Amino acid sequence: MTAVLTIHSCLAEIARASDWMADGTGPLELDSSIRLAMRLCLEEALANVVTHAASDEAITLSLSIDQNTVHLGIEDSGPAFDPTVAPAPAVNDGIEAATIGGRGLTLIRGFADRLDYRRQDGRNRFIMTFNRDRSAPDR
Amino acid sequence: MKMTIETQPSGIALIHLDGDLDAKGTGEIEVQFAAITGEKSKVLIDMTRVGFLASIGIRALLSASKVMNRRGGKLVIFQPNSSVEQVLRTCGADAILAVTHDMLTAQAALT
Repeated sequence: MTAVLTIHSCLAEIARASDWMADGTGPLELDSSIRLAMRLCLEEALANVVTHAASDEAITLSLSIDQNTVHLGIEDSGPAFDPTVAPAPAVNDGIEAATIGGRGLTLIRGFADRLDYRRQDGRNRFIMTFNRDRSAPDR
Repeated sequence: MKMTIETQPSGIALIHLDGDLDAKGTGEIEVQFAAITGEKSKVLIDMTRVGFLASIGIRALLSASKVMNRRGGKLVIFQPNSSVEQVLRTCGADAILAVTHDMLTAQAALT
């Protein structure tokens, strides 16, 4: 099944998107760690888009579920941005040297099982994939 | 997100957070949180009742910690749950922020 939601580009819409995803995955037997990973990655990816896209921008979310995986897609027409290759902040071990922001990409890479990006027709198309079985070998 | 503050006899400001530190929850407390961490020099943040932490919440914690450190103060995180701690670990924030599960250790770190 695939579900689609369109939201506006603002931080307040992230909670609505999170509720929509929770409703869409509610009936599934998913480990709490996968639900955490999906919610976190949705939150972080949308925060990035909202930060960089115009405020009246429409963002299209898609949730696609098959036997083994859940795919969460985010499409926007903001400036081209590939989260799969964008540099993440360096890890520092002291508060003075620490970078305050920019940790969302590190979290997405750490919690999603697979990331795909392409720029098509002037839109960013970012898909995060989560294995329904967290012991799956490609994690 | 609810935030309550109690000042202990030792001068430590104990901040209890209750809810999710996502975009919505962090937005609800960030002004008050920045004000208290901008004023106090010893802050203990009780994360026992924080169910979810996103990078916007980590940003608030790191920013407060940095401001306090520059004033000679200190911020300590107390008792995050396992998923919150996993988030802190995954983005490397656990190496920057002081995190403890023991109240005596937390208080000792602030005195």
